[in-house]
Amino acid sequence: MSTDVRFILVDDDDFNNILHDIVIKSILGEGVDIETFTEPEKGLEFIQEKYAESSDHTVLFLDIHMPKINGWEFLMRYEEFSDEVKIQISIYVLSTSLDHRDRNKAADNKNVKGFVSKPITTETILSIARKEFSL
Amino acid sequence: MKISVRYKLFIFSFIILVINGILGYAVYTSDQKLLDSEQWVQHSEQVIIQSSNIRSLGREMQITSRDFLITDDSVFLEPLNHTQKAAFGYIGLLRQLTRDNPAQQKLTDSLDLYMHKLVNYSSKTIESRGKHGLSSVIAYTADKNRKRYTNRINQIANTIQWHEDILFKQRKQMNARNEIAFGRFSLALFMLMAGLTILLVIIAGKYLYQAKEKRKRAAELAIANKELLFQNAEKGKRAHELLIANDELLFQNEEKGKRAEELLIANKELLFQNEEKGKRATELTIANKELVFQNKEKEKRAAELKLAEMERIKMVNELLQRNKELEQFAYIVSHNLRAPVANIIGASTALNEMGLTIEEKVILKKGINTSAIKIDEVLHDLNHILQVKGKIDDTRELVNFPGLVDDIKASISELIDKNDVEIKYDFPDVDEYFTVKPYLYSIFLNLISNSVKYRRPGNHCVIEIMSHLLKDKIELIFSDNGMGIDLHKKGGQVFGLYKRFHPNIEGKGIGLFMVKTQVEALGGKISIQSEENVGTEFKIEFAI
Repeated sequence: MSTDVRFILVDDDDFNNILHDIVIKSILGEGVDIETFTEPEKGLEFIQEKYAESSDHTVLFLDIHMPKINGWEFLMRYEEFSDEVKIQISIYVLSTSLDHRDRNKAADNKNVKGFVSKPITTETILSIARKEFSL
Repeated sequence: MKISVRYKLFIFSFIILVINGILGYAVYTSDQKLLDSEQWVQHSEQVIIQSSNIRSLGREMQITSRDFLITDDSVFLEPLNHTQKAAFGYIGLLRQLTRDNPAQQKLTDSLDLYMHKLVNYSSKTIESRGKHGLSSVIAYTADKNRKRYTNRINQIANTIQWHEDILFKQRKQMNARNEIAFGRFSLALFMLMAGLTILLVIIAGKYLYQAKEKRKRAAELAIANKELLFQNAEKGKRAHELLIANDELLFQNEEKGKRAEELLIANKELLFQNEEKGKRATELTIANKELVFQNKEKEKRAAELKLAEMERIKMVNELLQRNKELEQFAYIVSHNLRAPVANIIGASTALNEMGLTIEEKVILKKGINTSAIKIDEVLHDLNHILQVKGKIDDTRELVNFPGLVDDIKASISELIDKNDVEIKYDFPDVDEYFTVKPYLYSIFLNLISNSVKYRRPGNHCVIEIMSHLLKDKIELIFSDNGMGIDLHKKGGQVFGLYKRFHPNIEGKGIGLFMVKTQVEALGGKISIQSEENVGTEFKIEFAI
């Protein structure tokens, strides 16, 4: 395992972030770099700062139901970022929503790679890791 | 006795004519008199002249006879004879002139006598000249008789002249008087005549005018007369026609009598029908009133139906809105239940399948517990909400607003004191409402808590509660000077379940949802007005 595998978790539910952090690390190893944000604005700020000059491929799990700024609003702001930034990040919507409209909305967004239902399973994590990081 | 103008005119003209005649005669006589007196004056003048001539002839005779005597020239005899003849001619003339005056006549006779004596003497002398020559002349000149005759002639002639002179003067005076009298008389006469003539002209003019008028009237009368004649003829015809018409009328009257009887019967029939009509009219009036009333009722019904239709549209819109809200509610509830459930599944799976550290296991177990509690909370909320949304069984009572606010103030006094909150209220129009007290309490409490929770940091928090009584509703206003919210962005979600806009401030996102649910359960409406960093105002309307 190398530190090239990077994850960003954006979810207002603190326990959810902790749970996913534990699950991802237990599956992919302790060396995985994971950044968690309960406030979406902070996550956006981090991306803008960190990815402006580096080229680190990263998977971002984005919750939809959040107060103040929800997942969709997060995506709208993210859209305004430069292509150099966006090319490094693969966004997966992570939601408890069973509503097909949320699923369609996610599919229609070009910056969203996929829709993942909560709770996230080991298979899903492995599949995404293989696909994104060629593990 | 009335005398016609024409007759008057005739009499008047006759009188004027008579007066004219009399006056004309008077003028004539006066003129004759004047002429006479003038003749008399001339007469006297002639007498004076003749007597003077005679005197001068006497002297001439003496001279011519003396000349002859002296010269014995027969040349002188001719003038002497001539003079003698002329003298007697004059005397004859004088006699004729004074024939009406005996005194003068006597004197003329004397003159004639002495003239004859003188002539005789002269003849004697001339004869003696032939016989005696010049000596006779001396005798002649010395003869006293001759001188006496001559003197006497002169004397008598002078006397005649003197008498006649007196007469002349008298006659001239008389003539002058006559002339003046004649002039005055003529003037008076002229004036009288002029006056009478003018009067006559006026009367004649008047008469002529009247005559003209009369002729006109006569012409008119003639026309009128013709007209009358024609009318009389017409009347005659008409009278004849009237006689016929009269017969006709008599016949008609009989008919009318019959008709009148029939009409009396018909009239009775009509009276009966009128009564019937009166009854019908009354019935119709009543029916009309009924119709007017029914029309009004119909109009009312139409208005009611229109109102009902509007009400129905409003209700449909409200139901659509409510449906949308319920969908949202279901969506939210499912999310809020699924999130902790997902956490529990994820954590428990990890605990079972992965080799985790002790610390990790502790964290996950704690997380499972928290999630379970969260599920319980959501179910609790759900129960609470469904209770409010369900039928209200709670008894309604008259709730006093000031009392309600005071109760809430007392119950959250710690919070108020800690955060330096000021709650003001003013209910001038209406200060009580017949409603379910626990709901209204909850509404007031939630709104006050909301204002306290989202006060502006560093700003003295002021909450004002007011009520207004409108036509058919009560209006309750809750306003604060807190943080406010951008309604353009979040307007639709303010009253949404589990909607939170200030992540740094503790809250579940259920307060305003509950307020809305309870207001609607009481049949009211709630709306919001807000501006960021200025404040928020909630308005609740309850129907009376």
